[in-house]
Amino acid sequence: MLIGIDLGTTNSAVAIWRDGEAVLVPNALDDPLTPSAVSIAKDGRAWIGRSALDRLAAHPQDSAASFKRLMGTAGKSRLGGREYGAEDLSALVLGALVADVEAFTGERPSEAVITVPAYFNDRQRKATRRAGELAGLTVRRLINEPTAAALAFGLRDKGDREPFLVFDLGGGTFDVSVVEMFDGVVEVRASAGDNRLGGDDFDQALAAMVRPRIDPANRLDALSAPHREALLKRAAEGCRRALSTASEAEFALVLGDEKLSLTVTEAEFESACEPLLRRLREPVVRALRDSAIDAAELSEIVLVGGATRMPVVRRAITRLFGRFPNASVHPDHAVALGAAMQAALVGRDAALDEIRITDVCPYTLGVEVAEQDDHGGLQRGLFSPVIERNTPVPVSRMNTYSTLGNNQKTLEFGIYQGEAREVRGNVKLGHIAIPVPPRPAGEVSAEVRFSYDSSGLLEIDVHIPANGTERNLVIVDEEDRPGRKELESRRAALARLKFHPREEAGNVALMTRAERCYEDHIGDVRQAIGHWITLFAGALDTQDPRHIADARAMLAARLDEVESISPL
Amino acid sequence: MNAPWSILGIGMTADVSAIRKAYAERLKAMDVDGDVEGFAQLRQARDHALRIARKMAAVPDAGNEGDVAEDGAEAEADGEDAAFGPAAEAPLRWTYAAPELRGEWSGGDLAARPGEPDQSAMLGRMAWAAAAAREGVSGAGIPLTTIDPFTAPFLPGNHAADEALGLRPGESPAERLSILLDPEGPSAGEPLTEAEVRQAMRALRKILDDAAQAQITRAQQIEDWLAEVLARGWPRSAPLLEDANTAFGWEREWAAHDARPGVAFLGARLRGYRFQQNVLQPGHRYHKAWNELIRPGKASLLRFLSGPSQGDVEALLRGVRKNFPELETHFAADRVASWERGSPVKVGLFILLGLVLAAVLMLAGNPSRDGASLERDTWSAMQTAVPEAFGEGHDSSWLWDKQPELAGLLNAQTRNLLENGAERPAVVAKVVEIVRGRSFLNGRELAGNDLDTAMRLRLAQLRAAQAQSDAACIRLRNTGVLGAAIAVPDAIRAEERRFAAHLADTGKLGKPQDHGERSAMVPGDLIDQVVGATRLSRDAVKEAMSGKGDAGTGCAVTIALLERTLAWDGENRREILMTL
Repeated sequence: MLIGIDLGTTNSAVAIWRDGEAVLVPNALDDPLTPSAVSIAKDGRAWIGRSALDRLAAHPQDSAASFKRLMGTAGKSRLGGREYGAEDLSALVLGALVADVEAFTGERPSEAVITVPAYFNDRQRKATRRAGELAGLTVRRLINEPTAAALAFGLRDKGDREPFLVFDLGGGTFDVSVVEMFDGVVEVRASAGDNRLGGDDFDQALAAMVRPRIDPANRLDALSAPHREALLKRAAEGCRRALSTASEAEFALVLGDEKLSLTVTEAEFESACEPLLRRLREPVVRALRDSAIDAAELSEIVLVGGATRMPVVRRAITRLFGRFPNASVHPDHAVALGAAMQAALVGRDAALDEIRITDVCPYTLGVEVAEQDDHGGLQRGLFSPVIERNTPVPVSRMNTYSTLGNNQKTLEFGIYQGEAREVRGNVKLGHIAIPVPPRPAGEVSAEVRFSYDSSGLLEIDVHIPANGTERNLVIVDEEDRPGRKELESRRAALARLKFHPREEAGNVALMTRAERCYEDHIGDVRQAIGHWITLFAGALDTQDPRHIADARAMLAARLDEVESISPL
Repeated sequence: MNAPWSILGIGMTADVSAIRKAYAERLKAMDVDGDVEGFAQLRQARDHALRIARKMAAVPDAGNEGDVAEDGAEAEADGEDAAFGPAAEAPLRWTYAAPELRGEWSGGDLAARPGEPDQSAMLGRMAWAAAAAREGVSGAGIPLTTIDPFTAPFLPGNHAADEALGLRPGESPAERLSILLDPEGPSAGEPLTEAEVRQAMRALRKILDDAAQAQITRAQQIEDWLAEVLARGWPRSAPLLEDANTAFGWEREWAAHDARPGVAFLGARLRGYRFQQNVLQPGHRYHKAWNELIRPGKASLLRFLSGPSQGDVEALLRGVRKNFPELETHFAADRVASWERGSPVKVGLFILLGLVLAAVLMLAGNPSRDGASLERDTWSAMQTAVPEAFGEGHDSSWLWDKQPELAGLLNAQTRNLLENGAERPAVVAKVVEIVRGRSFLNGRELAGNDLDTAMRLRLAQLRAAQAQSDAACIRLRNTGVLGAAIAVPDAIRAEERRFAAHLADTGKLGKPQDHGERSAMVPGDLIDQVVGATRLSRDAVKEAMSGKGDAGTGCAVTIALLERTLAWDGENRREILMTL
């Protein structure tokens, strides 16, 4: 079975194609969204999703969220005393989604389409693909998130649509795509983005603004960094969400036995976000410029991604385009639904026989070159584009380069991705060296061909016409691809983690929630929650299903009551 | 042209939905991953067909390519009667690959549609390759912006005349700024006075505030307009760049390989301006060297006693030439030349030191070159190289006299090559190469006979390169380097020498100006001639003009276009030549 997965910074979701439509698959808690959070205790017990997110407050040293931001980097998260890469943690989330599909359909899926931010670079894409492999999935295709959202938006009626703009501001990434639909063709005209801008940054901006006021004595400094960040992040997120519906909200956190709190107005929040809001403009301008479409020609501005719920963001968008955006698609569900549609397309489902989708390659790809300047000096490290950004894919392009030195023996090509004029500003993807016959400078030329397929796989061929030498480089993960063995051992390490049985998921989630509430409160309320936890633990020990169900309903009701009072 | 229509499998039509339908049908019938080339062709055909359809819709009678090309020419002609006459006629310090700014004060249609890329953009791209090579930038496949920012003229709001802005009645901040930056009359070219800077800053802030509040289309128009006005107003606009840059985040774009030309131009200028501001501070590392080089007259023989070190002066010169070429105009040519010749006193020291060193080296049995003999060899190599480059009867003292800057450059190059073990013929070839490059770049900026000579010589050089290989020809076109292995016929060599000597004698062989990107409209009948001469398809010719296609085609098209333009006597002749 081929499934569609939205592997998000904040939440992940999975959808399947069934009876001619995309359907979201609920998790063990009957929620279509699974928070992208993992918590691992020292003894190897692991929590994924909601319960892991709740454990973040009480066990920050065991828990991680927003690890998608570390995708494709060497950054590691430390959980339960061990280090995990973003791929490993993502693989655990993917594994949970796979289990949800298995529980929902009775069949274990083996293949997936996974979405990535359009502006993810090649390294980030490969890391995502590896995460899928670690979770035991064959990743049939990576599809850009705004493209998936466009599918979900556009295929509702399959009618023609003049160019519209998908504005996708998620938890950690920002994408803009200009898309057009006609005669069953979904055509992405251009994509641009910022892979370091999302809801998390708004939380950080809010926390940074509030911190000196709420904690003038810098007492938070005494906490460990993960603990401090988890506290601030949670407080900021709660406050930011509250500000979506009210003109002021409480920013509150519990430090030891004391509650620190402060009221933040919408205007204060907006001014704290000002630099972030300004960063929304540039990708929009670039996508419009690259697609040669005037903002006035756009038929819709389609909002996707949880962060577009923020009124400050909506106001900025309205100001930017001079009209109200279209919020008709579910900002958290659209991407997963689109991924399932893409999965059906890949699987050539008959219901989508008349649909084709064409995407673009959002970055420029090229090689490093050196050139002679006016004064005879050599300028090194320049970037020579071969495939320009926003070229429709698949695409194959050739450029010719020649030697710079007399009797040069080899030609070396560094392969880069990015927009900077000098390669040091771009991402290096690989390297290819080819021997050339010794001749005077400039007399030996090399034909370099870049081929980029629909899944974003780049292949490079170098041909020396002078002597017929050929070299080929498939930029899979040449340098950073772990060997089969390493992949196996990592997979085995993840498999050793102890997961809670699916039927206990509800109890586990409720328990972690109660523990989080305990951390969030002080005084009598805290004591009361402690007491309830003991009661619930006792009920669990009886292993009597009816008794447990009663205790669970009771605890849930009490926690709801407590949380409805507190802004946290 | 039938190509797009036959690929789409429909007859020529202005019906956009028919084109889309045909495209969709063919797309669904193909496996794009299995037929990448076919997909590219289909997509190109579709885009091409849509362009033609749009033109046909705009001009009901126009159905063929020639008309499309002429449409472009008409658009350019329309641009001529800009309301902003004097500025349009003034020699531009940079050119945008789009029609001239037109009628920006006349209001106009803010909703004007962005134009489609046409021949002008394509040729601009080709010219870009040459310009880029000069700047040391890669020229391959740089996308020009397909939106012409100046077709949508903008008039900043209806600001009430604000006394604080120093506005005249009915004048907008944009008008004020524009007048301040591009004045008519005697103050043109002078820096802004302090009062003017204050006025200009206030007007600029008002405009920036406007842009910050505006919707995206309008904000973009303001940004593009401002980039144009500031670039055009350079160097008067220097004090304003920093603020505009902060507001629009231009700095992020400078480093991009496809930065808009206006923004790239301003980026380079602002970096130079910042360097100049810094170097004027007494604590700066090159402060002394800078002050030395800007003083008129020759350098003092005793400069080693109190002046900056030779190393600092050389480093400053090297750095300025590489990074901020326009700053070299601040330097006094005589002084630069005397520093580049090296300090006579130091040469004396060199000989002394050299003797000691030579003795040591002889003991070690290492036949290395010492400083004094290097200077001697440099001098003697120049005695051979200069006549080779400029013809008999010209020697290096003649060149020092006529073009000290070039003489200094050649001297430094020669010394450098010899130091790295190059043989005499290679040194001579390098000197000839540099002189050839300068003759071309400078000649191209001239008019009349000089321009024609420069272009005729370039044509001969291209042909000589083509005889060797297409790659050599393209290399000459893109980088200006012919290569020592390529033999230029004797008659042409003689002509090259005469021309170089003539330019040097008239003081026109200085450092070539950086003209940035250039474009010209190539009229349809000239393209027809190129098509006839090369026997290539019209598509191939246009592709080559836009810098795409293989070397053979690119070379043939360049040669044919140059040849036909030289023999041609129509409109834009000079403009076209200047892009080649």
